[in-house]
Amino acid sequence: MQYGRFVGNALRGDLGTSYFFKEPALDVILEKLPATIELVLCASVLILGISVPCGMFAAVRPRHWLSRSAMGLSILGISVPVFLTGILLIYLFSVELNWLPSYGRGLTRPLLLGWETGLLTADGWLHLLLPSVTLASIMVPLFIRLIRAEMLEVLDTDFVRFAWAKGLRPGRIWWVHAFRNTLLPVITVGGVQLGTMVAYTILTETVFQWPGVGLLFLEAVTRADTPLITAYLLVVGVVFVVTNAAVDLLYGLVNPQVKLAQVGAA
Amino acid sequence: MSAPLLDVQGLRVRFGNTDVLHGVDFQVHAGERVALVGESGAGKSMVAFAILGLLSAPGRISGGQVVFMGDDLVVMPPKALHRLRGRRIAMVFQDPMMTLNPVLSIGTQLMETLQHPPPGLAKVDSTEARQRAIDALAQVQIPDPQSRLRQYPHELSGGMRQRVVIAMALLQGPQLIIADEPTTALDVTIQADIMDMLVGLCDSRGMALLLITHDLAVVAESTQRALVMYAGRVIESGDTAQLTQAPAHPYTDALLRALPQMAAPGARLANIGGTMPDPGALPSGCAFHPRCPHSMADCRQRMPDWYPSPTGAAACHLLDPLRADNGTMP
Repeated sequence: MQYGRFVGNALRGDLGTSYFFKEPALDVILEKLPATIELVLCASVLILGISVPCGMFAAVRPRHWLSRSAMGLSILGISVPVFLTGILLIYLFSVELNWLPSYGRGLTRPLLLGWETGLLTADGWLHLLLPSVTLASIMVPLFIRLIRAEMLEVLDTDFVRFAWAKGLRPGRIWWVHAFRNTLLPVITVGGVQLGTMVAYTILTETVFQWPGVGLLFLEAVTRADTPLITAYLLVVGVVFVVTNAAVDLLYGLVNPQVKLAQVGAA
Repeated sequence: MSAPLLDVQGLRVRFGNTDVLHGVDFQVHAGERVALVGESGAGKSMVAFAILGLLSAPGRISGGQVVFMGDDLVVMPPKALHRLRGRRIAMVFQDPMMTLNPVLSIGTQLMETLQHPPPGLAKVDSTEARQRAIDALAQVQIPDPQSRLRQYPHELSGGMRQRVVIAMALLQGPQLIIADEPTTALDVTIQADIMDMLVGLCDSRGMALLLITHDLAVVAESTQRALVMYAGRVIESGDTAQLTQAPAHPYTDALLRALPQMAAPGARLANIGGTMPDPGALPSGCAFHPRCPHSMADCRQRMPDWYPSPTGAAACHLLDPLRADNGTMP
């Protein structure tokens, strides 16, 4: 009965009123969401920017000392928990060196529709740096290993060997022939990991007091703010569905076989 | 006779600690079509990949020379060798289902060989590359080549894909095409079409062909000279027409008898008892002796020398003119 009323209200966009903020729970979440999205976005760029070249290099030159050390470091990276990375980074760059701020978002500017962004001020970028490095740190080793493993497999296929026999520029063979085929499984796993990253934002945001939904959620839990907790879970669920749909569409762009199946079915 | 286009001398290939090629010698002259015949595991494909320097990981050339147009490819710097690939020596792989990249269109895969050469070589602009790609597809008798350029490999049949692969091999006008079992993965009905086309193209362009196959019927129809390989060695060589009529080596003879075309209608096919020995555990003496119907004491003890035969030359004790009991093969 009560659940029926909740669903009815939720469908009308009413997720209840936060006990603590005395405001509609959805509004509270949406106000904090940009901070989290910016954090995840920045971390994703870092993850791609680091793991793609590293993974590729480790596969193309498996015996090179750089590849070996990258593989060794990645085991270390996977084993160290996010909150420890965060605290170590704060200790080094904020406490000891005093280069970077240790908490908060810094200066923010309104973008549009009430989206407060930290990406337009230098202060905002400085604040973003440590949290996104921390958040990326857990995924980078995983992606380096994934890309390397998939790439090694593709490099051993007949069509890559044939590409060598055709006498193509080596860069073309690695980036076009091998990497495009490596992308397919990486996109699939990446989509799932993007969701996992939302969970890690709770830890990262707590360590850095980043004013996003993750921190909000943790506070809501300690305050037993049930409407807010429910609203958070619902919003995260929606984010999950949207990103996975986007990933599926991306997959279709990369793989011509998928594209054709859709045209055929229609 | 002029210098051969390709002169392979004492080629040895090693996989880890196991020798898989024990000194292979042969020549291919300009415009000549030569077959390399043998069962699976004889090392035929190994020869092809060794020539191109494309042996996969633990494999490496451990001795010998591969002299192509006067240069030894074995000692050539990797970058220089890579510039020859596709341009001077092209290769057609066995399984056209696996040789084409599934995520790139046929047009992209054809044109890229012209548009993306290794550093130091001239690029062809996209209009000309497109035209040459269309011409190449037309040469391998693919209908409506223009619209094929936009298609992906999975939209084509196996025979069509192999034609596309051959078009890619032709595109840069190589002097030598190495075809590794080009029709084995295809439907029997189109095997002959593809072989005829390949032979025709080699003839009209004066390209040499090194055809690797286990099918002596294909060899008889499409090559001038044949080399028979067994357990990492060439054991017989000679003129194709004669070799397929009257082989000197018992192994070649057994291969011929195993052909369905050779058997009388209704008769059981002859097979060769046993299997090719493991490269790590070769028998003593002649590697074929455990399976050979004419095996003698000598065969178990020492490797046979090469002797002239009516068809060319073969490595078999039976051909030793100094043998007391030298009988001809039954």
